[in-house]
Amino acid sequence: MPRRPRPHALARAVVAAVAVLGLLVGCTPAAPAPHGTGTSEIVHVPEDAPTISAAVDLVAPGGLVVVAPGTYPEQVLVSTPDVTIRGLDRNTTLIDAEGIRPYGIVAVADGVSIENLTVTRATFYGVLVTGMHDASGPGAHGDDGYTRLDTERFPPVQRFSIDHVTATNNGLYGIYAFDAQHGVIRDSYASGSADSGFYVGQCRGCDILVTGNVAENNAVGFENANASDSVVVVGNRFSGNRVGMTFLSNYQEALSPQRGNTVVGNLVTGNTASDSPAQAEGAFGIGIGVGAGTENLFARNLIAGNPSAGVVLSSTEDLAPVGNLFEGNVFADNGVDLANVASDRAPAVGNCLVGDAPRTLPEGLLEGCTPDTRQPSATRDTLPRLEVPPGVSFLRVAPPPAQPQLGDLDAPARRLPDAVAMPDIANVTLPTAELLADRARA
Amino acid sequence: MSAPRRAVARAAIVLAIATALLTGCGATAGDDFPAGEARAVTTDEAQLLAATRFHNFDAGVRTVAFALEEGGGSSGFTGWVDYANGVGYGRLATASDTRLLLWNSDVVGSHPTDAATAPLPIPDADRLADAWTGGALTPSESRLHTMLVMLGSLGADRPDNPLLLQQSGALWLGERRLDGREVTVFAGPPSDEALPAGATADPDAASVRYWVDATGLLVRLDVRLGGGADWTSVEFGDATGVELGDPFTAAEAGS
Repeated sequence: MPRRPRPHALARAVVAAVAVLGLLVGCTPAAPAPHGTGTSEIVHVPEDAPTISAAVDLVAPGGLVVVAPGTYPEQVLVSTPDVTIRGLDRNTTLIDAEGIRPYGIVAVADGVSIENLTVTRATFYGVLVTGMHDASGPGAHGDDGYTRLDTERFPPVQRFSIDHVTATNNGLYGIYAFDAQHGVIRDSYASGSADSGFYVGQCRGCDILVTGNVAENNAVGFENANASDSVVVVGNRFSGNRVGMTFLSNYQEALSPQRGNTVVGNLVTGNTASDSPAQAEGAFGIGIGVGAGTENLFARNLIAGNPSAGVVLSSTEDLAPVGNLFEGNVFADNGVDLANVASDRAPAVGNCLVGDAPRTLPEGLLEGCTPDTRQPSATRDTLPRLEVPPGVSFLRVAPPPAQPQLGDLDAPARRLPDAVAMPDIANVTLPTAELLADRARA
Repeated sequence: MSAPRRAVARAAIVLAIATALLTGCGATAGDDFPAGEARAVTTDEAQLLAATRFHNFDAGVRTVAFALEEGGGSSGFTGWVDYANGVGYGRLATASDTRLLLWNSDVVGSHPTDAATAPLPIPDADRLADAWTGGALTPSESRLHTMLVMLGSLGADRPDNPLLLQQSGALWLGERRLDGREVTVFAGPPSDEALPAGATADPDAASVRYWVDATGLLVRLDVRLGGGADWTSVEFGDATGVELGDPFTAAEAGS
């Protein structure tokens, strides 16, 4: 009998943002501005309220919900501004979506802090902060649909903090900021995500800091689609996924193209996890995918042991990888260090390297990086060929090691600042392979 | 990244097209689900239905059994679908013969057998080229091919979109008890296109019914094939310990 056609996994094994379907807005009217009706400054779960959702109903704007260790099989929507949701034990305060519910905890109000707890087994996202929500619930990229984000109808939610949160075994994303500005994702952990562990999407002037996080055993560790300007990704461990990080532009979502991120001091190594869901296009063994990302700075990252490629530049429709600067990164033991597979329609231009010259595909890729010089490209099938292990159900990826607790569990609730305090990038150094290793799998 | 969501959409489209091709209009809902009781799915119900294909993938292998009327004769199939590997296998008995079927999304092969049930491991799995006969899987060719394609399409490595299911017209038909389990019965959306605002799908036009338990596991599928009003039912069950593997890829690797 005939055999099936040869799989195209290798041809697809380069990260490229193709045709992400748009956002589902529907025809329901936008919800009124979120506001809380609760009046309690502090609500303890389960003493004062049996569930986190019930506690959220009781808490006043600016209040604190303190959650005792336990398993909470619920879906929590936070629409009261400036509320803090805090677990008393990060590893044993579990919001469990049981493989049925789409999300664990969603913040649609300004100024929400989520900290020191675990969110697991959501079919879509573990933690989501989004400005896009209406009577049919919160929305984000990942909801296939028909209409792109209407940025006037759904202005970005302001000020958020996700700190010491563990997100495991979630169907699309672990920790997700979408249509949001002025926030921090810090000292958190994500594994077993079928799309990406961390995701920042669709914002301009984002003012979002992603730091001190670990993503492993995900299809992709960290993903950015159409999130631009002040997205600062510093000092994270995005190792042991199928793809470490991606920076993507596409037309199917609002605010294309992606541009202007600062990506410094991250560990992006060994992205060859077999105990992980499959990446959407079969990608495997890639450190950083730049799918028509533009004008990003990649500095002092350790990009090593990615057997397909350390960095892959590619294009999406007529969107090209343009003006990315690679400065002072260390490349080692990658299949190739830096590859360009951009199309003739949207060729790579002005991507420059400062520092040790890595092995590129094609050779001579980086010899001309002036704004008007089209850079040579290779075809995807010339990347090193790899045996891609089959994807694992996101519910079956092994659990992570215990994660460290938030420092001050008795801290009062606080109003988050209007602007994020960004680290001094000049002081961020090249990491070693031990960066955040105490939080990672052996 | 987008591909799985596109793949999900594509699978739904393929399914919709296949059923549209083979489904007539004007059929009436079975007496066991009065059309007047059908309603649009709630958010919770849409979430349950959206997870059913993923739960097949998560389970890995499911048992499947169905009886089919085609060309004036009837046949019975008992076997398995391995949703992790995208492979189906089992024994088909018709009035004239019994044979083993092995298929994936592209091809179906046939192997003679006189066994009363499909043997495991799959016989001659390393001799697909000469011990099995077959060809392309073509849903427009027969009810059987449509059924095999449909069975294979019922797995996905992540959930479908519950909002899309709601907007495109999935219906709640009723609650039932099946083999001691409480199940909810849904009509699948007539297509993957959103209905006009405020519209609901016509329950009489439904061509697929999903029987789903409280954990999101599909326990039965009813489908209308070939333009008839009759429903063909597929029973799904647990297949603990069964592994089909992927003989197609193995053959490819060995070539």
